[in-house]
Amino acid sequence: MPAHNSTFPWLSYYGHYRFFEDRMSEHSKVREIKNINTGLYDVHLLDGRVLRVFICECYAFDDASYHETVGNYGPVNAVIISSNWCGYDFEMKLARMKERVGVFDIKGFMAAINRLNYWEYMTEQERDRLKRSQAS
Amino acid sequence: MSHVEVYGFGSFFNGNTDYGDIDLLLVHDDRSKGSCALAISCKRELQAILQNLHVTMLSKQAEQSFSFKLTAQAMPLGRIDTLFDRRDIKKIVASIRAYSPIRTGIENEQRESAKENSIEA
Repeated sequence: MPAHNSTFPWLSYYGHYRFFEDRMSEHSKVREIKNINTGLYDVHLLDGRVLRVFICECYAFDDASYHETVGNYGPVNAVIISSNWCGYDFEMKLARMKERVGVFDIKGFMAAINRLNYWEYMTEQERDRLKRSQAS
Repeated sequence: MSHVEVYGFGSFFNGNTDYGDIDLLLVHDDRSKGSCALAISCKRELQAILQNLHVTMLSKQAEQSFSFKLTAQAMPLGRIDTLFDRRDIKKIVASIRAYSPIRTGIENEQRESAKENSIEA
């Protein structure tokens, strides 16, 4: 599991987030993207919205990691877990959704910003999981 | 009483001499802000003493959801009941160093020790 960087903000193993930056630059709803700090970006959308986004690589992103992020960087609109070998806790995502903060992987974020309520976007797997938990 | 359980995993704890960093898992009670704050403080205390620590923090519920301990074959190192007087932190550091006493952030530890001595003096 090669997630890297020992202290906050869990910089990418490769030392940059070029893949994310490239995907954002190509996105039809994105006007521009500005790097504010390590792993912190302002994503300017064509409709005028500016989303402050924290992107990281950590093995497992949970509530404590979120509170640490906000404690260090202030409020964010979305958190993106960047790599395939890392993940986020689904219950934490649901808790953040209530605060209008989106938690995604890169693909999820790209889909989410197509909608106004971006923080509510869930993958099909997540929607199924939510349905199952609501049914039980 | 709120506490944090500490586990080690990854190449350092598997005896690999070519490890990149020291992977720790901190498991705290629940998702409350207080429990998260305790985990964050423990992380900071440990990172102040040891170099190259990569710390993952999970609530008990999230740890079960990820099956993190099982997947990562995490080894228990101890628990932190209090940050008062750093007693529990020192025990965890000793447990970590038992795996490789030569390469576990001795410089940081010496700096911390010097700081404590100057405070005592």
